[in-house]
Amino acid sequence: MPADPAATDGNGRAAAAKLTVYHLARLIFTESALSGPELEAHQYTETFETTDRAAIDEALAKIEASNATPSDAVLDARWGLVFSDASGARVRTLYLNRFGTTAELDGERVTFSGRDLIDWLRAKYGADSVLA
Amino acid sequence: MHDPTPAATATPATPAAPPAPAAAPPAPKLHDPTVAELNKAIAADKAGVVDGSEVKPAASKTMAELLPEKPTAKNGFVELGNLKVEEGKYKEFRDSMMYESKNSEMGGIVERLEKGPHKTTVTMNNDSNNEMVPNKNGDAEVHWDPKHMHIASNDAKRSPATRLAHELDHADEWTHNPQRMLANANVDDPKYGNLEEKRVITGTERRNVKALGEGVREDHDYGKGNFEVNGVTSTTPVLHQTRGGVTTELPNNYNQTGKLALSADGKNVEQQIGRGQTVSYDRNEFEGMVGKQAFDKAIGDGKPMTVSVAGGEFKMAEPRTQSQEVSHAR
Repeated sequence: MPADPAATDGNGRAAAAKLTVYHLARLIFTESALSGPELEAHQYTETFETTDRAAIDEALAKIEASNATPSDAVLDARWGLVFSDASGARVRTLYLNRFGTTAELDGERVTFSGRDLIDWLRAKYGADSVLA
Repeated sequence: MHDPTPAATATPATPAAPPAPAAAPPAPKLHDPTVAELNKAIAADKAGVVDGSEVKPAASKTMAELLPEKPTAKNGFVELGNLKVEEGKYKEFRDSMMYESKNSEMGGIVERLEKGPHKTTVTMNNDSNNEMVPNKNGDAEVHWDPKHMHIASNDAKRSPATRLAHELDHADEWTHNPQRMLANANVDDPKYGNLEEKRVITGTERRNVKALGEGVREDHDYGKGNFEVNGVTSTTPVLHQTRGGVTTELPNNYNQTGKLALSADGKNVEQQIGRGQTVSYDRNEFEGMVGKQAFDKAIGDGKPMTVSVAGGEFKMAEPRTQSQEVSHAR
């Protein structure tokens, strides 16, 4: 479900009370690119949740620093960052490809020029393209 | 994997030894390498990043010979050399490959999977899960949904059979050219996601759909989504309506006008069609075909809309006015 921009302060910082990270670490080749909802539901996707204020703020800051530019590039989602408020409503949603270059931010397709976010995600939640 | 050189542990080029009693080594990890690293890897092992222009060799046998009509099964799987197919859906698998054999490359792929150095196991599902999962021992898992076709962002329609063929090409690459596959998979591509997907989509898949008269997609995007069909070779979605608790298939000449609203659980689109009657459509089917923007507008406006079905797709338009009706009648 897309984020409700009205519930945010522009970047979700004020409202976000929980961060859920979805990560499909295993190397797979899908017939069509994975959408955000498909990523969340995939059998190999791992889910991490945190209510730590510092972690939430850090994630939001990394997104802000990623230089999002509107794009029509294809998104094959391997990461999902869902920020929810205290009631559980989604206030900011980001899906990201495994290279950290293409994303869907609150329903809008964008490209990221910065690498801070993907490097941070890998360091915190694990590597991509793992063979099992 | 920061260093994707031939010595990388991810490659299954050498068959795995029998499992040792000691703890298994950690799974190899592949990161997108720098261009310099990638070029080094390619130069070193002559793997080469290929595009779809590489035509795969045909088989030495016909598809019917490669895939017997009534093979024996063991433990729930038909085993044809190193190709294992779930027994209960073997007919769908065989029908698909017979259909796809209009492109002679597909016979070659099936033959190589049967004779290949590693196992390829094909299992079926009903939730639009079409993927190839490489294992570090060199084996490949193919997950296939024989009940859903796909409509790409350029409206290109591909049958379940063609989607299976796509995954079998990945499996062929993994079991025979793993180094090249990893090299390709580690290169970002704005249209195809990575170069391995580009290799397949612009290669065997494109030649398959041209031979079969299916749609040619121009990217790897999720597109309009996955839609149920009757039969593995079909590209015509089966659309549904629910009226009075009864769900039926929609005919191609369907046409209904009324306000649209979301159901309470958000899973269906409900249309008020007069006299207190409501018909509901599957939201995924409907929204995928009319487009998110038009869908959101129609729900938000709350104005009557005409919903029709043509060519197996939902269409939505503002109702024709009386003057338009008269003009049309003339």
